[in-house]
Amino acid sequence: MGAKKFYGAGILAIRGTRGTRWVTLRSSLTFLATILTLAATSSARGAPSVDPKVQARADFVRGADLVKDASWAEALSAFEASYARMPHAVTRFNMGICERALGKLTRAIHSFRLAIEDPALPAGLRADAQRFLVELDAAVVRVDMKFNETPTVILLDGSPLARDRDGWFVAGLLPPGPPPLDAPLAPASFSVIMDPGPHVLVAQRSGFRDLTHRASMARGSHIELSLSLLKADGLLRISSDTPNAVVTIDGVRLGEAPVELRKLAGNYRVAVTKLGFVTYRGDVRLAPGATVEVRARLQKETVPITRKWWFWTVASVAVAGVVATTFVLARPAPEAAQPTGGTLGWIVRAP
Amino acid sequence: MKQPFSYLTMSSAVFALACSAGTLGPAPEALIVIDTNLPSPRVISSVRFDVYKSDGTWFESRSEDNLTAKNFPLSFSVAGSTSVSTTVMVRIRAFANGALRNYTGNHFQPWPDTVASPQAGDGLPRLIVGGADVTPLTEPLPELTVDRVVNVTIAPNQHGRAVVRLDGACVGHMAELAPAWTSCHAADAMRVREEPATLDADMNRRPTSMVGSIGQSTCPPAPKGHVAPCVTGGAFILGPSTAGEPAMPKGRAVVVPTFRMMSTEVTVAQMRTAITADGFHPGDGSMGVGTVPLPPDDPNEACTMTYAPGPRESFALSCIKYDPARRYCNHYGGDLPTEVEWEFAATSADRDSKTQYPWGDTPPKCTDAIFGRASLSGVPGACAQEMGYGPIAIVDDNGLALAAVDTTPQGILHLAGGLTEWTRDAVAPWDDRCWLDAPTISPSCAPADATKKMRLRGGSWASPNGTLVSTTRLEGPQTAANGGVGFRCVFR
Repeated sequence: MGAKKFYGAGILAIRGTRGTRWVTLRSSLTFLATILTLAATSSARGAPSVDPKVQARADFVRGADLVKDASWAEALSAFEASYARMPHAVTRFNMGICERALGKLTRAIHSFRLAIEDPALPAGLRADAQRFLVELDAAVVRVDMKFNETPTVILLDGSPLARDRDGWFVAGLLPPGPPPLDAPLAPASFSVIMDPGPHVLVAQRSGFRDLTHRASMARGSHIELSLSLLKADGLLRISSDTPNAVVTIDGVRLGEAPVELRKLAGNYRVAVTKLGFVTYRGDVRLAPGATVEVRARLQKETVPITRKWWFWTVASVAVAGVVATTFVLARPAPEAAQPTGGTLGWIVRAP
Repeated sequence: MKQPFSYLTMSSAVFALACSAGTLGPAPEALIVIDTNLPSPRVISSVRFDVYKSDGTWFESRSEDNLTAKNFPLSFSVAGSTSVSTTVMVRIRAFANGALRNYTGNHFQPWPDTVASPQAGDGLPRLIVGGADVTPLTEPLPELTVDRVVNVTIAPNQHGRAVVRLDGACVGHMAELAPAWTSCHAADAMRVREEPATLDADMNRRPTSMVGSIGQSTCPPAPKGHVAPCVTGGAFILGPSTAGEPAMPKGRAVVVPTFRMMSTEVTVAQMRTAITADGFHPGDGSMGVGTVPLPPDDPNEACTMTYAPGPRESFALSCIKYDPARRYCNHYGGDLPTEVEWEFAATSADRDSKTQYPWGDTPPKCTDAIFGRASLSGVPGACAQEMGYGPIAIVDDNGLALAAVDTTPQGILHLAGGLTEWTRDAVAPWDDRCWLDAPTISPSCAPADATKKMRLRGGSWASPNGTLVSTTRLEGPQTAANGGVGFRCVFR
């Protein structure tokens, strides 16, 4: 049965489950513990309470104990504390192990890469790290994002995106909060690597509404996401010095002045009309968040014969009659609408 | 005031009359929507359309190649008439890119003769357009094609949509053209006379594609004491054997339902547990017992089992005969894999296209798989001098898999190398009646008697790298106990 258990561990190893991590981690912890013990005994004699190596060792040992209880989050904190005091490739490797167990896959990739780059990482752990990288690379989610406007701030789960050496944007590496001043700016179209699971994306751009998008990503998926930033509102107030004048914006009658409405930022054509008055026309530029007031002064019109309503009515009827008669007499035979052709755009016609 | 309004009203009426007379409703049309449950592009990546009058006159042909799942459902229109009823017969053949033969004409053959002897015809019918013979030079191979005929009949001013599902169970079943007009519709693979397709007036509803759904079902329960990943079912093109079998030059499309397959070959430790703890009785002489250390490079002597637990517990069990291997699997509720299951797992499951090896199409390096570790005719194997001689364990001292490149996407190890594995099927070429009469779904050629040789699949630690190609078919007597042969189980 002992042999069977050993065999079982082997299978778990290639499947990347908790048992494997412990087998791998156990050897690495032992290795580093030895290093740290030697370092501590040689350097701790002079200043036992403040030596960062001693504290790093204590943090490391605490992390190792927590791993035994599968307390991955607490273990990660301990290893991070140890690493902050005394960076070491094996500590970084162990951080990757914890991050992998916690589902923080992008962070695990980052840790394993850092560990591999360090020549101090033992060969056996290096092989493990490379194997984990292959596994993690297949498990992370890749999203090709496309915005209609380039956002100036992108936060995924409250954290800005980092950028890796391959040019990919990576979620989950930077702490939550606004992006640092030197954070890379994402273009309108870019690709981002993130952990599987639910995410909240926030994109911001001056003059546009904040965009919030929620999605749950399947493990190992590669998807395309098109998002649109909408322009922010402005306030438009239109009044008239003449009662009962009608307000029209971009050809749409909105009712009698005064009119107050919120519109997306942009350019608008405003008209204020009243029978017997010269129509007021003007172009308005509405900035995001701004308030624009238009006060139309209408002047009474003097009406020539061509401005009499019946003149143009009679002229229109006469012209329309001629046109319609000509059309009815000369029009071609009516044709049916064309078939759709489907996705192939192919229309079969029987001979 | 009244007179101008009357003018206006009159002229508006004239306009309305003129305009309404020139605007007709939607054109008489049948929108034909085509979907399939076969995977694309692994099995379906081309569609040939041939359009006939109901008397069999061929008047149009079209091909769509390099299709993938996202292209489905496909659709096209058949234009009707506003005055008379219109009928056309559309033959739709879905197949894999390049699965073509020279055009011989439609010479209908019922299943399974389609596969057995695709006969050359007399080159009829011909496609004549504008007096010119534009008959396509090629036609899809019947044995790899879903062949369907659709009767499209459109009443005057009728406007509707018909959905045609090309069922994977119909692969290989030829359609019969005029005057019979029959083709296979669904899982029972019975040919049906094509009556006018029902047209749904709702033209805008787009059906959800079923591409790749055939064979997929709930995974069976995990077996006791064995790690057996789930292999999601599907369809793929079986073979052709690397030995070449002229009657099936390009293989045959088959469907494999979902199953579980052990992630490794059965190990010495597992067999020992089965015997000592789980009540399995392999029988006298069922397997060879080796010495410690192993003979370095003789596959006939390199048996991994020992009388007492030793250093080879994590080695794959070799030198076991066919019958005890199968009974071992039965003991745990499983069976030996069929050749089809084995090849599907090694080449196609969860992959867009068939691969030569479990990991892809790149030939293995010595560190990728366990092979080339014996002397053949006195010449050291390809990896013997670099990696050493003889079989090795499945995992290293830390429990990590060795030669882990030899893994399928499901985590099934060592299908290419390690040990050559028993399958449930008897030795028979693909064009043997045993295979031709087997159904499209779960085909098998089970043994008729104990004297037959059985199929073996996969390379072993002693194999040259050419044997590691996953379509390679090997064979051995049921009573052979070879140091290069082991087994793994599947659970259905």
